[in-house]
Amino acid sequence: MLNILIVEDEENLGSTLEEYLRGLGHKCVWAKSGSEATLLFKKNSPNLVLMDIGLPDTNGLKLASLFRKERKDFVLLFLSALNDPETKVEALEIGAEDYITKPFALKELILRLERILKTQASFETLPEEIVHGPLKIWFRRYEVKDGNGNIIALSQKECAILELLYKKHNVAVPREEIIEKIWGEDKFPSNRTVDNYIVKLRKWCESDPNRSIEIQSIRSIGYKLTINHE
Amino acid sequence: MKIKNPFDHSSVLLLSLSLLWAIVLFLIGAWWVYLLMHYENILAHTDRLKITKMIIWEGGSFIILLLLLSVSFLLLYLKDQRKTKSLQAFFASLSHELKTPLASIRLQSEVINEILSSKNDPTLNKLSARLIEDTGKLETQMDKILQLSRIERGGELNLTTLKLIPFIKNVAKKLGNSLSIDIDSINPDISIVADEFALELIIKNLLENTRIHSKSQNVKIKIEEKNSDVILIYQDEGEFMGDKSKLGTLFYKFNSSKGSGIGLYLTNKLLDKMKGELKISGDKNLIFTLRFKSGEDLRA
Repeated sequence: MLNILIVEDEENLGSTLEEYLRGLGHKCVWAKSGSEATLLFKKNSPNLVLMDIGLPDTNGLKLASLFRKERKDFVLLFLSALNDPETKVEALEIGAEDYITKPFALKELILRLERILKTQASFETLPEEIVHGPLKIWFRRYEVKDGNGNIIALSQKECAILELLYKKHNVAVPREEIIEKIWGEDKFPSNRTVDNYIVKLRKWCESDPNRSIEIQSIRSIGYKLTINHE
Repeated sequence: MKIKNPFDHSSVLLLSLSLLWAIVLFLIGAWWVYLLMHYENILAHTDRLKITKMIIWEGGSFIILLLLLSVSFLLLYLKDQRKTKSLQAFFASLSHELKTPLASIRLQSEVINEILSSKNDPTLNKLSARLIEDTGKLETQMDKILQLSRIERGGELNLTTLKLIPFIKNVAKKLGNSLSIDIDSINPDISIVADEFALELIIKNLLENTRIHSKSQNVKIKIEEKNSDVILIYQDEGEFMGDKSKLGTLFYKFNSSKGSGIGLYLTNKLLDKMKGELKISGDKNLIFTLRFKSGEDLRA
């Protein structure tokens, strides 16, 4: 079950979403404005925020950044009528799991929620803090510590890829499996898109001169995470 | 045939012509004044002062009139530009305003559809499915208008690499119509450089055109790699009776009762932004050749 905060100023859309998600068994609250959302965010500590961008008293992107500064351990999903790439990129940079443009198919939203639930459940099975040499991982906070002691925020996808590779350490994980598990059946990123995500994770690993954790490319297959120092 | 839009650079053309008009007229006027001044000694047999005065006044008035005309041309051009921009902004904001209630209608239709699916009432199930289908059609039309106004205002795309074949299959599945699509490609993992949303609009547009204009619902898609490009050849069994040279021109419809006349124009513009190209060949049975940049070329 997810604890969801819906931030949506359109009455019919907001109430239908709230009722439907409640019907699915999730705990759900609905805010019609930025100020109401701020109150409910503090009061309810949601683990999923469905955020609209055009709000009457503020901008959803600004509000999401404020929420992110306060807490990292929640999944952010934008639901907006704006579909220009600039806004989408900005939203993803804030650390959104996804950006769904209105009007969206209910099935599409449900698929996202199911994937979020799976990832959350998977994070729960791992310890709160994982330490390998100077490298640290906090999956539930979407953060890692590099070899120089810097704390780096990871996006939802980077975190999910790291988690997948970490759980299958010392085993080669095919790119296709990464795409299927992280992006889902309705998204079609190429292998190169996966490579781009790996670049950041690899940089993090390489910040440790002792290579406590390594991510290796396995030619024509995918990637393998190796733990050298427990 | 490579699509060329006669309106593509109309504003730039108008500005260039206005400037050219102003410069030519100014030069003619100046040349006329110069000639008269130069030959004033010959002309001024009797009343030299009178002729000089006439030349100065007439020449001056001529140049002032020409300048006024040119400035009014320029003002008209700027006014036209402002009007076009406000119209585009209006359509963009109108589409945004319509999208939220449309999202609400779609969501409610889907919830109703879900509730009805367990009631076993074929008529209600059919009606709610139609409601969802029509909402989808409205959504596509609004997306086209929004993209068109954004691209015309110089908006950019977010290029990424995508696997083309599963993407096409997914768009076809989302449209949910009865098209029979045969995809022929040696490499099923072929990837291209594209904007996800723009590519969806392009594929939707081709499939919708087949649905509307072709009696047979069979579509053949051939995909092949050529150097650093990916070529997609799209062919259905439709018969085109209009003027092929006008295809892709904004608002051109060969059958005035169907379509909005922006689909192919937008496809061409979007492909251009993705460093690709659209070519149309064939006579009655049109063949659409779409060229994309290969995804293997996009460096991390």
